[in-house]
Amino acid sequence: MLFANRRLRFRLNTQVLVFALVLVSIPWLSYRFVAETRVFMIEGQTQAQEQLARGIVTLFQGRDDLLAELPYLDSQQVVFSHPLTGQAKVDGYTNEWLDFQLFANHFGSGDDSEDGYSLLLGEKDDRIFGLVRIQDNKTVLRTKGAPNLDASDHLRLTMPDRNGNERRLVIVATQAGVMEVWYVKEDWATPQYRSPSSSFIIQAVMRPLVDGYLVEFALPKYFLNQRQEFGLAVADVDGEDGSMRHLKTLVGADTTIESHFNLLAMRAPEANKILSSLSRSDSQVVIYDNNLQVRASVGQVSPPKSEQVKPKDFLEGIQSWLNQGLDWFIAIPDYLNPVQAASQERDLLNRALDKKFASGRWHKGPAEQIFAVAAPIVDQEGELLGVVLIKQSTAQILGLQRQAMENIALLSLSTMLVILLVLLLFSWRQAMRIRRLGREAQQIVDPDGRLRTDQLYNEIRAGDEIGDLARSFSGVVARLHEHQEFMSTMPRTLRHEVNNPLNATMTSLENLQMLGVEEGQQRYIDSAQRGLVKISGIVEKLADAANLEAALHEDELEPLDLLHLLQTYVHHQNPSIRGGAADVVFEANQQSVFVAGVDYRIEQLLDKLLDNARDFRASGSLVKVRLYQQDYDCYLEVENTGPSIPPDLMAGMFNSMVSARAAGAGHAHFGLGLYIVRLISQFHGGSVTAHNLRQPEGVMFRVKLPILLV
Amino acid sequence: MAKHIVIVEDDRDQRDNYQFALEQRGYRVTAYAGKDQAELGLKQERPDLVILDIIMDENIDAGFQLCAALLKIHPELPVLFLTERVGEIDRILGLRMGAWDYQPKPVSLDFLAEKVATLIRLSDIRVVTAEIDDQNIRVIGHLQLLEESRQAKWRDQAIAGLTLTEFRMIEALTRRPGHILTYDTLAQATHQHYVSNNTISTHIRNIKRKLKNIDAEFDAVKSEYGMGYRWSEN
Repeated sequence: MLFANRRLRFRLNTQVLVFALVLVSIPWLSYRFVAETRVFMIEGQTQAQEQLARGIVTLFQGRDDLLAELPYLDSQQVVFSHPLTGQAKVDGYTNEWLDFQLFANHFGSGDDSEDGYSLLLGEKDDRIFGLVRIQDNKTVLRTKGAPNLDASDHLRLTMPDRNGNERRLVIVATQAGVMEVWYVKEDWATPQYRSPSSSFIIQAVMRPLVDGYLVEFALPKYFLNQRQEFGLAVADVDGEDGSMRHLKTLVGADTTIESHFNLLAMRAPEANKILSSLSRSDSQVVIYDNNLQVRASVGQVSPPKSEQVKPKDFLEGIQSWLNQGLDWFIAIPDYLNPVQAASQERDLLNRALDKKFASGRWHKGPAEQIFAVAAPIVDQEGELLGVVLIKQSTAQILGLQRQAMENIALLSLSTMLVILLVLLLFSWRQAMRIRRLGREAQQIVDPDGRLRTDQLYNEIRAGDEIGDLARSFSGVVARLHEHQEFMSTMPRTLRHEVNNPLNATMTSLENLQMLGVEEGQQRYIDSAQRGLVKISGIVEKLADAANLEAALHEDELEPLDLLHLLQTYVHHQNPSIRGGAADVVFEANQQSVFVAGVDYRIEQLLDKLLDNARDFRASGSLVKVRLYQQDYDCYLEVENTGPSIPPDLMAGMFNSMVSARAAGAGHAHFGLGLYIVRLISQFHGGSVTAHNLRQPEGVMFRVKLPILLV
Repeated sequence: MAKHIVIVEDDRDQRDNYQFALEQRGYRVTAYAGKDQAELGLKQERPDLVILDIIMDENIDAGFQLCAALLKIHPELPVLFLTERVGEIDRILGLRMGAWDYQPKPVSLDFLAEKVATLIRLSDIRVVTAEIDDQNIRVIGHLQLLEESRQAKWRDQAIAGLTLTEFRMIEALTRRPGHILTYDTLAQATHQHYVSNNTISTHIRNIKRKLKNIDAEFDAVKSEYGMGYRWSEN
């Protein structure tokens, strides 16, 4: 029992809530499904990529002409251009160059020296892009309007045009940001024209760095001749007034630029043509020669990203919030920065240079994985011609996964919400019904434990299990009510049934007596008559108690002086009137107390209480009757010393047929006395309570009656 | 000529006992065991008094039905219900139907005989319109007790609906005005086998009610709580 009380109890709503939480497994399972699908798709894509690489290698196998078609000159240094992806902007920032950082050409004394600079060339559409990172501890800007262009740090660019004429350009900064591009004369100091070149044709931007500055420039491809020659020098001016000037570094080994045109190696057209048929939107194929210079490239790794738009309405707001949640859920935290990614790529290329087939994967961003395959291209003799590198992004797969996740999440969430809501409503309704049934079940019994009605009214027409329960319970109530009715009418039925034979027996005895009996027989007739009178009395008492409630309704309440009634009553218990010892005392303040009552019912009440007190009092002790008034009530107490009322009897002692007397003790007792006291008290608008007393041990019955307010 | 009394009672023992007791007291008695039988017999001859049980065999209202049928034929016929149905509702219903009195069982045969005699006497008075003044009258203050007809008057007005038991109790109370009559004495005065204090108090309540119908100021019956009652006009 104790264990049962300690058990955890979950209310219906809580149970439903716990059950609903199980629904969370639905989106989780969906997620697992999508994740597995992604792995499968990526695996498939990797294999396809390897097949492609092998195909390309086969295509280029032995085609050394494709990769060796550039007209190299021994005196020229080749600077390879890289295919720029995405939106190439001349803004001084290196976003579009990140993939090629490791391929930068370094010039000057060394990478870390003050005199060095690095150069990256790229191409996109019809333009050549250049990124020059210059190490310079003091950047001298050109003073606007200064006559000479060589009095400040500047870049010198020279390109022979298609007619063999040399075009000389000086790119100089007057401030951080857009630079001036001047056509200059042979001295590199005097402008050819009065104003700089239009920034629409040649763009250049300077951005200061901690250890120097960076120049990003772009010019049209048609500036180059067929051999695509060009020369680039960085002039470093350190003198404060510009008087000390020297060319810090030039392209090539000499300090002059005039005779040095380097070669801008564009992608091999034939190889590019072959590759173009393999172009795909989400992958990039790059052919390197054995010097790891890009010779052909098609496609791009990351497809153009759609622009972020701000959520317009509530639904989009939710979606945005959901997206953030999904990012957190499916994002892979350990992704490589561009430099690390380039290192990975370089590693693959190096392995391919060793004539090995290499593949690898790395995360480029939170929602993008790159996988790459590098395969060596060899000629018929087995000499390495170049390397093919295929890079592909999982962005598309991840995008699809993300889209699927979004759909699943939205669908699951809305389904769960609906199911949860329905379940909660359902459980709330069921709980309400059960509670209503419980309330009715509680109210069906009055404070005295009697059924008020013979059936339930709630839920008995419901077709479900609660309806079954209500009907079963209603059936039990009906049977109990029937039993209660039987018990309440039993004394009357008993009287009906007993009175006839009793009457027959009594009248027979009377007739017998009338006929005359012999001497000695009369005493037995008398004895029989006395017995019959006792039986008659018992039946009457039972019937009177059973009829009392109905009989009380025929009584009319009248103003009644309770003090006078009690004084008279107790006075008539006086031994001079009744004989025997005085056994009742009355205590009251001598003020009249009026109640609305029926005198002979109060008398009946006192009879029962005094009978009770006399039966249970200690031998020779007095019974005290007390009357006092408190606020709007008066209290009538009957007290005796003697044994206390057992606690288990206390609760139901005012019910019908409850008695503490031992069976067969003296007169017949049916436990009706205190029941009658209760009924009469209640009829007068009052109540009765029993109290055990200590020192001396005893019992006190207190009847509380409302006083009559005049 | 002996008065003719009809008894309708389904219990043979009781029926025989009533018949014997009343015949011993000089009445001519015809006894029937059931409603139909009685209805048939009573159509042929009008008795001086009919004593009816209410529940007969399976019919719980047989006595009431028979009473209604008889009073249609003989509206002035004195009817006495003698029954085990003792509820107040039954009593009121029986009297409203036109019965002259309503007596619960068990009953003492002496009391029954006296009741029969009283009812026949009342019936005779009504029939011959005899002068009440000729009767034996006892006067106590404003109260007059008409011993012959078992009737009483208060301030010269007849107390309506006074039963034989109530008359006997008033008679006992006024035997020694001012003195207390205990419950036991009053019980004896009813000539019943068993009478509880509560039954006596109920009779006293009814007496007071009937007297107050005549005189709202009536206060001659005093309660002596815990002991009994006393008659005192002061």
